[in-house]
Amino acid sequence: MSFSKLKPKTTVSRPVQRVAQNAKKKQVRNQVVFFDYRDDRKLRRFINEQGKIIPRRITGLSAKEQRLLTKSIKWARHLAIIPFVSNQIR
Amino acid sequence: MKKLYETTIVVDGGLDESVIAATVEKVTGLITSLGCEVKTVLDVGRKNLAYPIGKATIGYYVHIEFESDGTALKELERQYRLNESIIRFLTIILDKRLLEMRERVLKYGAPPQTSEDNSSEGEEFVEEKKSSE
Repeated sequence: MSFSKLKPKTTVSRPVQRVAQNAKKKQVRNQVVFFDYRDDRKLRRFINEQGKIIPRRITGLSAKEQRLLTKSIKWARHLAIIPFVSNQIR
Repeated sequence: MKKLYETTIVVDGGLDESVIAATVEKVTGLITSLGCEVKTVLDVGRKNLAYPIGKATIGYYVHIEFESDGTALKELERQYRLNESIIRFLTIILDKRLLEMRERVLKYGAPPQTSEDNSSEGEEFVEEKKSSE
């Protein structure tokens, strides 16, 4: 008897949490991200002072975008548009 | 199947203008002679390299877009390696994802130098793209 009363409670409480989480994610996604491997100014936003690629949890990019970003950064490094390691450290 | 490719060459910036112009012309000529269709040539000009390559500290960047079925690429890259004034090169496929991102750069970012030739191509792409955002 007591179980049947408890069950609806749990199912009700869960969706409320989920809606709140989704709302938070959408706010982050509102910012527009853009970069081009040919343009060092735009890529420098996504590397730290050492020249390392900033992880996805901080850039807030989608997996698809982050994959393209890492590729773009590696292309740019090969062409000497951005450094592998920054000059101060070398 | 024909695909859109983009090749970037970095010519040693310490060389004379005439030598650089000759190498760029040679490369575009080579691409057409290999049966590919050159779409746009974006000449960025001299830029400081992020790190020295050999003895060069300045590079002359040229981006060439062309359409090919892929058979010419091997020969093209072999020629790049033989050419001593080219210090770096990169050939990539311009797929839908990359073009989409480039369109976004044009829309929200400050346009890069001499990107006027590219803008018309970007507009064509708007029609294909679904309004996902």
